[in-house]
Amino acid sequence: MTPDEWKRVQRLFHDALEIEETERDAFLREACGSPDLREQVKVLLEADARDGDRLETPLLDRAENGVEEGTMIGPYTVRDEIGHGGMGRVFLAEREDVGSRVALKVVRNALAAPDRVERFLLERRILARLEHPNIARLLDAGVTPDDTPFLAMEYVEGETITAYCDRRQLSIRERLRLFTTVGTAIAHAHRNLVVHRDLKPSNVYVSSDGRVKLLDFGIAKLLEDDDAGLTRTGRPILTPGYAAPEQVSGETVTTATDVYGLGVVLYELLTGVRPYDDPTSEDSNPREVERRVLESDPRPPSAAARTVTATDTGADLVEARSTTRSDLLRTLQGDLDTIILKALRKEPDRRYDGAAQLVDDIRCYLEGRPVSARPDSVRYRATRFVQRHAIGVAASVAVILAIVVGLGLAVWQGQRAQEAQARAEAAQAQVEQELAKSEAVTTFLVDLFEASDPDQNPGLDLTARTLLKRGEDRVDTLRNQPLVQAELQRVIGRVYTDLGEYDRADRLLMASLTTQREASGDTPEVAQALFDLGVLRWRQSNFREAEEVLRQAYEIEREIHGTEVHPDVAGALNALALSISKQGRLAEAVPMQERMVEISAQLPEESDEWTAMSQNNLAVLYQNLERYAQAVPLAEEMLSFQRSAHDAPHPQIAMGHSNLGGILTDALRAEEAIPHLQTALDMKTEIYDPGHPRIAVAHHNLAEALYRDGQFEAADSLFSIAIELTTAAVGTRHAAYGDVLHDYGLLLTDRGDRLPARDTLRTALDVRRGVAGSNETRVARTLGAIADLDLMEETPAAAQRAEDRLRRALEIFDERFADPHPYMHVLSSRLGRALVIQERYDEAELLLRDAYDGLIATSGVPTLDIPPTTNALATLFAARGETEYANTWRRR
Amino acid sequence: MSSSSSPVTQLLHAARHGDDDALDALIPMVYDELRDLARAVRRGGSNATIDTTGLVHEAYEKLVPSDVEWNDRSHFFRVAARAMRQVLIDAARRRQADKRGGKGPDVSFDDNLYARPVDDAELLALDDAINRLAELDERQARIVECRFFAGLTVAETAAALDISEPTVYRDWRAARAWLAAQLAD
Repeated sequence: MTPDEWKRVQRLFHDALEIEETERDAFLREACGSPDLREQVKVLLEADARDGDRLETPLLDRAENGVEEGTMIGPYTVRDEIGHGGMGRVFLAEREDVGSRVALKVVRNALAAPDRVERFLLERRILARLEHPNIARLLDAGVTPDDTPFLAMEYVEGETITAYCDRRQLSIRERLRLFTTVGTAIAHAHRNLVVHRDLKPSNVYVSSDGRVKLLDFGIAKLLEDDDAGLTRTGRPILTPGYAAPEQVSGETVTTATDVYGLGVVLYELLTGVRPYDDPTSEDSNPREVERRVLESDPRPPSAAARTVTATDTGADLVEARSTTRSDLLRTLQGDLDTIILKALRKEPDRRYDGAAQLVDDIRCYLEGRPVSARPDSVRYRATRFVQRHAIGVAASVAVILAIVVGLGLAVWQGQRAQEAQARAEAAQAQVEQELAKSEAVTTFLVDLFEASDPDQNPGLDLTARTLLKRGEDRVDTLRNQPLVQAELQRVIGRVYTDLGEYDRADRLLMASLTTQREASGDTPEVAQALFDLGVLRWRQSNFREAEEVLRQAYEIEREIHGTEVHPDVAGALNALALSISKQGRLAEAVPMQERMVEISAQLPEESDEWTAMSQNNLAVLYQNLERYAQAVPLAEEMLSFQRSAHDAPHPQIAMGHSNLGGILTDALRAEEAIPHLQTALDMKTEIYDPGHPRIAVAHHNLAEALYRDGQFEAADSLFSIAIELTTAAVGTRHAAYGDVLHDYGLLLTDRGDRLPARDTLRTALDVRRGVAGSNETRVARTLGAIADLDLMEETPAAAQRAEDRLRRALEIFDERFADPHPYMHVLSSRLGRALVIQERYDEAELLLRDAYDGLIATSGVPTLDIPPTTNALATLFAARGETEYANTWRRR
Repeated sequence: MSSSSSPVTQLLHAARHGDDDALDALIPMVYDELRDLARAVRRGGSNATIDTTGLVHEAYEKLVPSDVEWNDRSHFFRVAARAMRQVLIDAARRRQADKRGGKGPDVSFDDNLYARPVDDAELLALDDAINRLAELDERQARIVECRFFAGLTVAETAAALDISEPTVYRDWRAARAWLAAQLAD
């Protein structure tokens, strides 16, 4: 036989084993090309059936301890062997004097030290006190005359909890109820200071009458020789996939270890797989599993179920839970994901406080009450990233840091000192120290980058820009550590975005996203990178692309967390809603922003901050829809919150003032708006770089309010500054430039400077048309403003031009909004007036009447376009000879 | 790692980085250790009995310093399984030689330690069969060593050989059927 032939024979052998014995011959006739091959497979199958277990008992263990059927151990007579494993062999045994049957565990423990036997006997007394209907009792334990320890346990006839649930096709809720029994038993043991230490489905039995029985309670501890000072035993061999991180890394085992074990059991019970199984590969190397247990985040159960139910055996798995695939996924998503992930956290003290708390949360879930578990926070996950990549980050980052911060010497010396110290210590300690140090360095660097974000550090000296530039140059050299590089690129890119340096930000964020995507698919890191890119696009006024990437970020985040009530998901939803309303799809954004206000109230961390922000955004949205009666109180509430939450000057307070001021301006309450906008401008000047776009916008806002208040001169000079600052900050191809020109154009129009007004408005129109993905309603408003100038000429030709512009503007609004937008009444009114000038009275009458009704009805806010509308109607009726009726209009 | 590492530590570390010769270099050390341990038990006069796993773990504790990384520790068991096979087969071979009259004074006492109710001739035939199996599939031969000679569990075997448990199950079942068929011929 050749190796290849042997492979073929084996394949057929395994296939045949899957088939009922009676049908194997038929299968082999079908599957084996040659009679020769068939014969080889048959010989193998026969050998398997006849002598398969011949080698099953290890050579020396055959006569191990002389235990075989009939052997007496203590008062027990050994019957069948029912299992064996790393710790020893398990027999079904009988105690003849009382006629009871026990599971007798004979421990492989030759060469036992006397002190170990003593401790064994002490421990067993503790275990023997553990009495609970769901815990298989330790009935007896002892040592044979030849020092072989044995344990007699309650014999449980039944099957593992997973097999039991699958066979009876228990639903998820039924499984959860059964599981609460397991958890309660564990909680009882914990109260008696006993930790199970080896929870896995094969230790959780369900007897034939449906009663849960936990096997091998505390046995791992009983058998462990932890007297390290004397014997220095290595760790026991663990079952990969079930051991908690602290067990894998050899740290202290506590009750939290059992909470983890419960999490794994529950995970497997619900999804059919273990948290760190790689569902895409059959072959999971145990070492790789251990690495994942220590380093990577477990997949949420719903995500694991999504993958595993898409495989060949997926249908069975779903059927065994008496559900459908989509129902199963929906059920797992949300609370169940959150509960299980909390039990599985790496750090024992971040899991549930005990098994009882885990059981409580599952009961809450079953009864439809809110659960206590919360998803991991952003800050926590960010820190974990740094920890995970600590060595890589530190190695390269330490170099950057040394050069960039000028702390070079200090760090270098510190490193030397630590190295010298470490050399004197054991190698292990050195590694740990290096690791701890590098973590600190990394965290510091990330903090440092964040620190130059003015939103986090108002008034901080912005020479950090120089530092960033150097960081940016050096980050390019990290090519051999792509994930570290990507993370740093993202951080620097984000800060550049906030500093208004969009080109630099663009290059870094795109590079970061590409790397993260290639490396890992839809991970939290990719969602973060998408989010940051979305913010950049938003700042660049490229709202269409912003929407696209933010929608991806939102969908990935929601998929990862399984709920909207999570800061990351809410953050993405908020930005997505903003990008949609920025494109003028306000009606579409309203429910999203209202949902945001709801979500914000439920967020566990900094709920007030979130509420303030989402209220603010909803206020701005109402403002754009000209629903000022709703917008003003929201904006006031938000400002008063910001003032109570922060010390001035602060970006958030400044934003509160400028938003309230803006709304008041639009509501034609400019006089009240001016002090707010003045405060906003002062504060922003203090906080931001002079060249920051927000400074330009603050000038613009105040200028507009002054103009609306009729202070034309003051407004004019402030507009000039605003236009200059805007050009410097964002260039002339930016929505903000169009905005400031548009408003200045309105001022010039009202002041009667028609020619400069027309020039300014035409430029604004070009800018607004040129901004990719920009809100087209801005174009429409500028068209409306130019049409207003046309109407002032009062010639049929100019009125014709006005009509064209106004019809185009109305079309734009019509396309954008499902319900008529209030500004459409202004446009209709002007269109009506254009028609009156052209003496097309019949068409005009309908338009003007509707416009008038609309303008009156809108939010009860006085509108500048009402008098021209009534005048036009008066002209119209006068022209038709209805003088009296015309006069009633003139009087309105 | 520091320069104070023991040779075992260094060899295990090298093995982890793909140096298979390093593992082979360990075998004689482990072999000697296993034999010495067995002797010590016997001479100690206690009634303690020996089982495979007990011996292997004991050898492990004596040979492998505590600073060895966990990954490397698993590899130790791979070596121990191999050494255990050699110890047992050598003992069987010597006992066979005794029967044929070539009794050597220095081995009889220790070798009787392994006088188990296993037919020596059969054991030697098994050893030959495992060598033939190694030519068809080296990994399966290693699995037989771990399971049958060293008494490792499936999980331990998987860890020792860096393969998954399902793979161990599959290979083990095929290998032992093949060996059983060979021995029946």
